[in-house]
Formats: sequence, structure tokens, C-alpha cells
Amino acid sequence: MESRLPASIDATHELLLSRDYVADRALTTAVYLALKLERPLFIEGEPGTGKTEIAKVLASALGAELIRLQCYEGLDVNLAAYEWNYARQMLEIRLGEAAGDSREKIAANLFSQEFLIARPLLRALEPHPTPPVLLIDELDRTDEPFEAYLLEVLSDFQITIPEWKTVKAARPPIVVITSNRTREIHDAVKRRCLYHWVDYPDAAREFAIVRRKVPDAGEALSKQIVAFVQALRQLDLYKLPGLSETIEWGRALLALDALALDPQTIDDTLGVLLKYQDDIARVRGSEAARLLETVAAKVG
Amino acid sequence: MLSASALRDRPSGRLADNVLHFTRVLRKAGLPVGTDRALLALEALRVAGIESREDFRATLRACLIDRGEHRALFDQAFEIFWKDPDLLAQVMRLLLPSAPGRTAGGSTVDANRRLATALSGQMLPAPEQAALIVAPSWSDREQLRKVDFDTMTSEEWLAAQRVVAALDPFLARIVTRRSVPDERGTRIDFRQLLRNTARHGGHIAVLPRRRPRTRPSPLVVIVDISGSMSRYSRMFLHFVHALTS
Repeated sequence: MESRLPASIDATHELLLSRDYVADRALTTAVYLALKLERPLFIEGEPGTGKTEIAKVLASALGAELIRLQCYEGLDVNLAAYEWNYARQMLEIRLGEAAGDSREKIAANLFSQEFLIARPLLRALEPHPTPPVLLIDELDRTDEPFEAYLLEVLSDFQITIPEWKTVKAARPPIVVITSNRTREIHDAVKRRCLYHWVDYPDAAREFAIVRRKVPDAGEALSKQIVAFVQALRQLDLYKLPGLSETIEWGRALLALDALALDPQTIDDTLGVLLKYQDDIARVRGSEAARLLETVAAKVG
Repeated sequence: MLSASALRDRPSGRLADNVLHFTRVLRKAGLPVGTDRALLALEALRVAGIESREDFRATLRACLIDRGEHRALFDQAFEIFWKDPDLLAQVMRLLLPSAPGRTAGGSTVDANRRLATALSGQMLPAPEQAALIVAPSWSDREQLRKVDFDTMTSEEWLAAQRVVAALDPFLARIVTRRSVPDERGTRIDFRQLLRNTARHGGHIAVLPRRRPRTRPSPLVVIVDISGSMSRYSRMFLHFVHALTS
């Protein structure tokens, strides 16, 4: 395993690139530090900028298992860390009673691994041949009590199960936490992590990503796509198109056999880029044509 | 520059001092950088090395900030602090009214008075003085009442922020018709109870409860965020934030 961990920032860049993830230098550095220092990596940024993708890419590049914890409001310990299998425990008691076992004997075995259902957090701490990648996705969707619960997991890589014992990871998992910033995450959580804010990529990087993700689109069309999306991000829209929208749009245009952007095609496929009716209504028609002109002037 | 291995051999020394120095500057400029973060930065530099300036900045940034909006301030501070080792001369140039900060960091530097104050603080070797400023008292608050937001120094700004943050939210929360799970809730969650019971073979282990969900009453704020108004609108937003959260 050690040999698969990148030895330098450049090696980290290569590793990510081998899975078609074009990261900028700052993100690469943060990832490298997270791997080296065995610290969780906390990634914030706009939706669709590749936050979740980084965990998937890391897992596949390192040959590690990806354990994903999707957060939502009301997520509790039972669903995130562990749960006792009450039904089986009841059954065990009945069987014990039927066999005439003593009360102590039944109680002794009741809280053991056999009756424990491991949920993502606990699974990430169990022994693995390669430390797994634990993705805690959209942490901002949970509530604060759950954040507090995470502190023990993130700082000591352990979970205390009161009825049983403290489970500690022999080797810490690689933890990636993402947040869309619908609310502020508590400082106590962030303090335990390395922080990185993912921006929308600049034109050069976005072009490199489109070329890798939609290789069939051709260089000219890719350039136009990127220039158009970059111009679109300058507008005052409710939800700006992310990187994933750019890629989807590229694929959509490819499916429509478009060789170059024209006003009609843009109007037809605008729904792939923009997800709010108000935004679409604003851009469709004359605004799109104007953007296309500036794009044509720039790209040639 | 030093490579990672050379750095490992000499973990302390000037660089460590400078990094700690830098975190103090950030802290004074209002960024919440604790000692643990400074130590993390030193540890990270030992791993990443400081062969290139870009990596050096990325390493410090990953370790020292934890909020998207602090990036701009961090970058400015980094530019000023690490470009010219002769910090004192740098600061003097920053503070001189006739030469408004057209220094290492470029045109954006002179805009940030908070940062300028933070850097100037490095010249004062007396920590007692700093302690004096930090302790809030009635007279401070009295003064804050009359100070224009635009001419506040970073200490005054932070003090004003604290005063605002201490305000009690007085906008009532609206009780909605929906409810959320809550262990100490008033209602028993019969649906959840039924699901749990089914899963546990008819046994009731705990009574799941819910409470009505509340949300802040809607408040529409229209703010002019143009350059001249930015200090005012920022403080106003702090005020609104304190009222609603």
C-alpha cells in the first residue's frame, strides 16, 4: 500500500490525472498533504465542481474501497456509525431461555460483534488490506449533534460503543469531507481537517478537463463549449453552471451531432447547463446569441 | 530554496519563526488561526517542502484557513509577508500616507486597512499593549457608538463585530406545521415507532419523538455592496445575521 501513496505533489498530480481528474496545484497539494499527514480533507465549493469526484478518483487510483456516507437532515448514529441488531438479540435471548441458559450467560454475549451492524463510519475503521477512502458527502446537510459525534471519528479515528468497546482503526482511512456551504460547519470539525475551497476552473483547465472527459467532441467544439460556459459564469444567474454541467453539455452536443455551437442548438440544450427556469428564460434567445458572438470573436 | 529532506533535518530555525510570525499576522487581521493550525502548517511544510513558492502558499493555505471568504485576505497577507523579508521596511511603506501601498502585493494591497494594522502590530514588541486593547470595557463600546465603520481599525472592527454578535436575536421564530425528529420532543413519532417495532419483532425499545420544526421569520434585506458602501453593508449584514441566527 505504501508504495501506492504518491511520494510528491507531482506524483499526486499524475495519480489524479491517471483517472482523468485534472486538479490545480493548490488542490493537488491539499490532497498530497491529506494523504501524507493522515488528516481528513475538507472540501468546500459550489455544486458541480468535482468535490465528490475527488474521493472517487482517489479510491480508484489507490485501489482502495470507497465508503460513502451521504449526509441528510436527521442522520443519526444508528445509520451513520453502528446499530445493534435488536431482532437478533431478542431471538438470542429466547433461544437462551429455551435452552435453560443462566441470565448471566445470555447477557455476556448479547453485546458483541455478532449483533452489531456496522454502518459506513464503523466500516471505515475496520481492518482493510488498503486503508479505505471514507467520503462524508455534503456534511452541511446534517445537524450539529451529528457534527459533534464526528469529532471523535475525525481526530482519533475511533468510535466508542458504550455497550461494547472502543473501536480504533489500526490504520486511519483517507477521509474526504465535502460541503456545499448551505450552512457553516462548526470550527471544531474544520480544525481537524485540511481545508480546500474548490473554485470554478479557469478556461485552460476546463478545456483540459473537457478534452479528457469528452474526447470525441473535437478541439474546436471543446473550445467553444468552454468559452461559452465561462462567459455564462460572468452573468448574474441564480445558479451558475458547474464543471459537471459543462461535461454533460459537451456530451449532449455530441449526442446531437453538433460540430459547432449555433443559437438554435444552444437554446435547445440550455436545460443541461442551467437548472432554474428564470435563468433559462434570461439566457435563451438574444442573450445566448450575444454570448455566442463574443465566444466566436474570442475563439475564432 | 530548501528541499523537503533538508527541511526535515532542521525543523526549527528561521522558517518556523517566520511561519509563526505569519500566523500572528493573520490572527491580527481577523482570521481565526489557532496554535494547532500553526503547528499543522509546520508539520505540513516538513512533508511538502518549500521548493516552489506556489506549493508553499498552497500548503500554508490548506493548513491555516478554513473558510472560503478568507482566501483573499490570506493571499494578500501572503504576498506582503513572503515577498520581502524586510518586513519592517514593507510596513513603513504601507503606512506612509504619501506612498499608498504600491508595494510587493500590487494594487489591492493598499485597500486593506485591517491587514495594514495587523502588520504594523508586528513592530510593537510589547504584548502588554495588545492585551490592553483586547480587554473590552464600557468606554470602548461608548467609543464604538460614534466611530464611522469606514475609518475603524481592525481592533475596533473586531470589537464592533463582537458587540453585534452578542445581540440577542429578537425576531421570533415561526413554528411550522412540519416536525423533525428530536429525542426530547413532545410528540411521539408513531410512524417511526411502528417501523422500529416491526424491525425488532414487536418489541418497543425506545419511543422515538418529534418536535415541531421552527424556522426564522423571513427577512428581506436590500444592501448596496458597491465599493464605497462595502464596510457599512458588511457590518449591517453582521447585524442582520445576529438578529436572525
